[in-house]
Amino acid sequence: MEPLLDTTNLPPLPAPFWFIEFFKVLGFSLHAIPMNLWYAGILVALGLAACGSEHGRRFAARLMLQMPVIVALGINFGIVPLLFLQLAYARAFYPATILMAWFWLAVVVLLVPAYYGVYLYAFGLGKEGAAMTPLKRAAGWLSAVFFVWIGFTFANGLSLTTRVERWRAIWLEHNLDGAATGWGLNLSDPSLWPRWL
Amino acid sequence: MHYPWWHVPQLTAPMLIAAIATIHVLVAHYAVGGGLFLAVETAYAYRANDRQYLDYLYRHTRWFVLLTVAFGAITGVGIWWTIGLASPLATEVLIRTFVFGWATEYVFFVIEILSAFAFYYYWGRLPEKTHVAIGRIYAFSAWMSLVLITGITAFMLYPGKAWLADRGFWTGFFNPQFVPQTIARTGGALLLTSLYVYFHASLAIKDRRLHELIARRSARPALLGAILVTAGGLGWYAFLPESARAALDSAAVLTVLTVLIFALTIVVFVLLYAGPYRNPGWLSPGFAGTLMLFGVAAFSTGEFIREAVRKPYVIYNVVLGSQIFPEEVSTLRNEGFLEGGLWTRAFVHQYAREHELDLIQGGRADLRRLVARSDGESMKHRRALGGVLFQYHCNDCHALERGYSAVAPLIRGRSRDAILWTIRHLDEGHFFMPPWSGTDDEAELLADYLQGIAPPRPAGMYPETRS
Repeated sequence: MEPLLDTTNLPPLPAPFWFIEFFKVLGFSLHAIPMNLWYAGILVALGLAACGSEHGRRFAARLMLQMPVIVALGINFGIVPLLFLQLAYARAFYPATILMAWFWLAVVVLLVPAYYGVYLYAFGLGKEGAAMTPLKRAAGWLSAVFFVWIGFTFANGLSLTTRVERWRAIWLEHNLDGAATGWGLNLSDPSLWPRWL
Repeated sequence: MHYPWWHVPQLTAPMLIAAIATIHVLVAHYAVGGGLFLAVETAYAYRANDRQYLDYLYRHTRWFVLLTVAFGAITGVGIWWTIGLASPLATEVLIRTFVFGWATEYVFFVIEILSAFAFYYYWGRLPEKTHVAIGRIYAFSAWMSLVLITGITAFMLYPGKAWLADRGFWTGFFNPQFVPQTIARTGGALLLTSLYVYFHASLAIKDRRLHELIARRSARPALLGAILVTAGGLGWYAFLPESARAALDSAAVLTVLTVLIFALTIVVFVLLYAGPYRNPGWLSPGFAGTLMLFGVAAFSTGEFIREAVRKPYVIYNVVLGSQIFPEEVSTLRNEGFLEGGLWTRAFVHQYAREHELDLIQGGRADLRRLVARSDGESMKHRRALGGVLFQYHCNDCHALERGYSAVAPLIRGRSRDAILWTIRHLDEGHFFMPPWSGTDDEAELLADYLQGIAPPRPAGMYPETRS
């Protein structure tokens, strides 16, 4: 079968490979801290706010009040690993994300309401929670769902980056005259689900 | 040609970049100029002990942080997202060349975010000098991020001969377009910020004194911004590659837009001078909103022109719109465009297997066999493979049957010979098209495909007596 990845004649990198790998891993670790705080934390906080004890509700409020700053920093920290990933693995990363282009692009589209939802919810926590409305609460839940979906998209994109053998089938199922239509996902990869969960 | 092409119906994938980028710059320039506005005006308000003005600035900061740190930042990331999808080869080249420029920009982003949050959340809790210093740190960091990204986007328009020789970071960053575009964008930041400030103030403040104070104090920065934008724009023109300058005259849409941007800039100048500068009391939501609309229109027009003149390149002299390097063209004309790309080659071989076409010889597709056939079935296959050529060679700039610069309406009614000639002499017919990068056989397949989708000539154009 004709290969879809060719790693011969790779152009030279502007820094030693160990340098790029080091900052990619360090950058991802720094990103993972705030990212997990929002990924699991928003759901936990909203759950506690709905059904928790007084202590739980206070903890939830404190976490969600900080969430706009956590999200801002966490998104920012994501830049470094993504940049170095693309630098070192362009030939694998771009095809994988192109095959799922619309889902990949949706990350950015969903990030806007997810981010503002966190702000809205935090505004509702003003005056010791007296400013909370059903709309602001719903915004918080929507943010939680969107962030989880975004995580699912990343799990797809990054797992597909490593599974070159999956590209052909996904591409042939979602193409127009050999051009990817961008509707693929890596759903039949058994590593996807534990990776995401 | 290591990457698959992403087909986006009607818009084309690169126009998604344009859409997200235009939205981003309309906020990002405010993110830069607004930082300066807040730092300078807060310092003024402290010095004048103007509590009412400080209170307004606090509310403005809240709106500013909400808009720029969230929406502004994410749309910026959105550009990065989209260029990897729509233009992977150019993105790969840019990242390899400028990764440390982007990493440095990222450091300034971190400083921006931290200082913006500190400026807002610690309002009233910091000594005045410290508060203003944080504002200045934000303003400087924001401007530095503008400078860094402008070096890279300016590089795309004109890397310069020095970079083509050594491919280094500094020669690429300090390209011929860097200074004019930085001046233009700095001016744009000042100008656009004033328009945002006027609009926000016209809605948020009812006090006449404060209205007039803001109108007066932002009038000069706005006019300075307009002057810098004009100066930068003229510098942009002066340092264009020859083909880019020629494109302004050669494509009707660009000629019209160039006239339009002059007209819009003059309108903005006049409105700024007549309004906030001479008559600060005119600052109603309607006036400010109109001024804002003209400013936004001028910006968007400018960004479109700036991008469009780069054709046929995505990175001038370096990466063509057909997602190949110009050095590859002669090889592909001999060996085949389809065989020259991993994905195109895989598709052709797969197609030949599925349809039991006896095309593959010695591991390569011999398309002459298909071109030589004249049976009815063969036209279906010729158009199928012609479609692959279209997607990878042409869809970067041309939609299919309708949409952005759609190719079918462009060639409607042309004879097959005329279409074939156009393909074989692509960059002769239009200098802003890439050179045809396939074999003669591939040109035949593409001609069959294009003729298949082109509508006939419109009827009723000439009287019956025309011979």
